[in-house]
Amino acid sequence: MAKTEGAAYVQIVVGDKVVTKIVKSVHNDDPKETDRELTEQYGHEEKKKS
Amino acid sequence: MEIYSVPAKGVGRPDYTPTVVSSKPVVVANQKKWALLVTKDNLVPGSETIVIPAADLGNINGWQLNMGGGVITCRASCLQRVIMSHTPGFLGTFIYDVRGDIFFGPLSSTIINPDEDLTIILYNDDSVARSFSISLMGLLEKIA
Repeated sequence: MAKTEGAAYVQIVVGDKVVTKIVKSVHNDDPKETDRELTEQYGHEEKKKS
Repeated sequence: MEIYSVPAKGVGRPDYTPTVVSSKPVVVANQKKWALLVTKDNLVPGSETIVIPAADLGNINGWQLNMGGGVITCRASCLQRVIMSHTPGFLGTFIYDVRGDIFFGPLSSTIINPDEDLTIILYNDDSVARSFSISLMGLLEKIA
């Protein structure tokens, strides 16, 4: 289980211009770890409410 | 010869078409059409977090991005999911099989403010590598 840095091709249309970009991406072999990170990032607001 | 007559709207029966919805978006002054395509071939099982900087999106200072909708595909039948967020904000979790249509509602309902990055977390919940594509469309609007 590891995180690997990679790249992704993104094509963006803004008005009449089309640009292709290479952006960073991170692959995680353990998707549940990503879920946990998201919960920590966005779940704290829910905890405050309860 | 029998003459077939069509009753006028609202005469004798309810009018089920009171309004006409245009399927063509109208881009006026201070607006730009916007679209994004991300492809990921042979993505091994796991999650792929893709961060697209605000400068690349075009929602730089003075412009805001109104998200309209999108389509996501996986080239195999399997329940897959994608999570999209921006800072600070959460566009949602979308679960689909082969193809999923993403609706953000009216264009003004989901706004990505200037200088906010877009994060796409693409999951491959299958047991083998799969190929994916995400296309999003929206509108850039000048706000200052």
